[in-house]
Amino acid sequence: MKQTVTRIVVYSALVVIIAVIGIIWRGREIKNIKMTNYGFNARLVMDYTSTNPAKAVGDLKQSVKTEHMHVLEESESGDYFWEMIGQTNRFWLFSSSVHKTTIVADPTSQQDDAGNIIWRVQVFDRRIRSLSMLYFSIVVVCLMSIMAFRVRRNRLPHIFENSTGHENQAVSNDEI
Amino acid sequence: MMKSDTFSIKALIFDTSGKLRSPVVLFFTAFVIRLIYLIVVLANNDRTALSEMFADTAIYLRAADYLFGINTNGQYELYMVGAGYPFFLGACKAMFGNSFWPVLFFQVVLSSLSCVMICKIADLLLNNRLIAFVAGMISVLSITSISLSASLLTETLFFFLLTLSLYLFIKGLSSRRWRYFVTAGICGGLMVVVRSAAMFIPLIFIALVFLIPSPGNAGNIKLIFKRSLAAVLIMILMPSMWAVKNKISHDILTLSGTGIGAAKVYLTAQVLYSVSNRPSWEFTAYRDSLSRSSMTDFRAGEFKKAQSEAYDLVVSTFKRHPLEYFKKYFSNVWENVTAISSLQNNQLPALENYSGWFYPLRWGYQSPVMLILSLIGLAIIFRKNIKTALALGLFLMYFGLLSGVTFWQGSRIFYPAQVVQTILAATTLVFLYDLIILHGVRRFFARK
Repeated sequence: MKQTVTRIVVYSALVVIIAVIGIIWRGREIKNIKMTNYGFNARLVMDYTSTNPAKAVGDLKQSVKTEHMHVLEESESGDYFWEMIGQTNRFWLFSSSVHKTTIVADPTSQQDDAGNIIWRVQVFDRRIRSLSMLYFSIVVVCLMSIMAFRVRRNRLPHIFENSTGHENQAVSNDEI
Repeated sequence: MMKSDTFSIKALIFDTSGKLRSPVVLFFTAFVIRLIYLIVVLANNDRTALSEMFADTAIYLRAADYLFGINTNGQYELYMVGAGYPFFLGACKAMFGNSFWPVLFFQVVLSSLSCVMICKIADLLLNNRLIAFVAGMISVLSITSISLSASLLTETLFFFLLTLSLYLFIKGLSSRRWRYFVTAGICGGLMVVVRSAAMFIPLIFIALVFLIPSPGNAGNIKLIFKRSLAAVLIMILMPSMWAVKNKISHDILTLSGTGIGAAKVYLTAQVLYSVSNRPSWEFTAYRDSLSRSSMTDFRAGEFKKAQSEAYDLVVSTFKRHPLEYFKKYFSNVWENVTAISSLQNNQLPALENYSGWFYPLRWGYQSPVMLILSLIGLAIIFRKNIKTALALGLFLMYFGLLSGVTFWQGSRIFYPAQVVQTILAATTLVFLYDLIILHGVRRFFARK
């Protein structure tokens, strides 16, 4: 009984250590993506004009949130600037990348026929490939390998005990 | 007259003791799945679509036409890809005409036979029929293997020759018969002709002599080594003839130009672009410009000059940026060993919506499931027999390290590693079955 408790405590501690490493790993990625600036190191993914910038920015914002990204943090300045930090999956562990997406609308010097100012709407995206898959793989391989070495051989009859029974084919010297 | 001699499907599938005949079941399951897939692909793609589906297909077809004297343009293509697959395509064309279906049907058969070979290799290595059958079944159900069998690409033929030569070689190690070593050598030689990337596999075969346990052969290591060496020599000498032909034609002693070419256009381009601090999304244009730069020399027939320039660029880039080189190289290895199959999306675009079925756990275009299962399997086999684990690990490492020079090719680059990946993954699945289904995890914690 005492041994079982010790075992459970050791494995629980292992799980906690793994979780802490994951949280630190995730934190680093989020910090790195936050430090990027859309002005010079982000990809311009959309660029178009509109006379109703507030609606254009609002629609794009909604599209990013509902269709493309799980938003972690967002900030906006008026109706014409929106920025978010996000990841491709709800959980970082299953996200292939983390993103910083910026939607910005700027007035141009042009007007349409009705005299409305034409705005330039741009969407910038900076992407960092997440190392979550590597982390996931390392954790699973390590845990399962520990298990593979720790389990008693008699608990694995199909691995250690069961064999086809065919003898190593002995060949007479005549055949060689 | 004798009733027991009459043919029955039951007798084909089960042996006299009522046990499944794994190879027969595996072959027919694989064959039916691949044949149905091929029929659907052929129904949805005409000849032009098939020949333009993958960039490499067009190169193989031009090389085949050149090799068989149908076309005078194709010298560059033949030099780049080597003679193996173009010969296979050209021979099929000579026998069956312009239609692609005979080639693809033949590939379906070869792919199905490969599944059987995997089962037999696993049985010989691990002496475990259950793992052998599961390994074969993983190969049968592999979407990479299925989609490649219906593609005009080298992988299916190469993989079949690899599995066959490995099976014959291991069989030779246990039986010590000359015929196994000689046929293993011939198949291995053809394998290298089909894909020059396999040119160092003979070294692994030599290592297998010392790693594969053959209890009955304890006093015969000298004899086995001598015969293995003969097999390896055949593997080396057969493709060498093509290298000599290249030396005579182009003054370059090489099997194909694709190795150094890929190192230049992919890995080196990646490193040079990375250190130039330009935006990542313009990389493709840069890489294409680097590729076009060699074409001037190739078109002028100056193969040696193009090859030397490519070599110099690769070496000088490595010397200038060794750290970045290693970083990109290992990043590519990681990408390739976890890449998911995407060929089926080209062949049958409607399948793209069902990709999640094939890869329930994935990160974008990557899934580490097979790799994870393989590494755990390696640990389990390591516990059972260190030498067998090393033998399997060598193949995994060879194809993994080889994949680092290229990227964006999907799962086809690491596909040859299936020869051992399936065995390792099967071991893990059987391990999990024993652990969870048979005994329950609770008992693992409660063990004395």
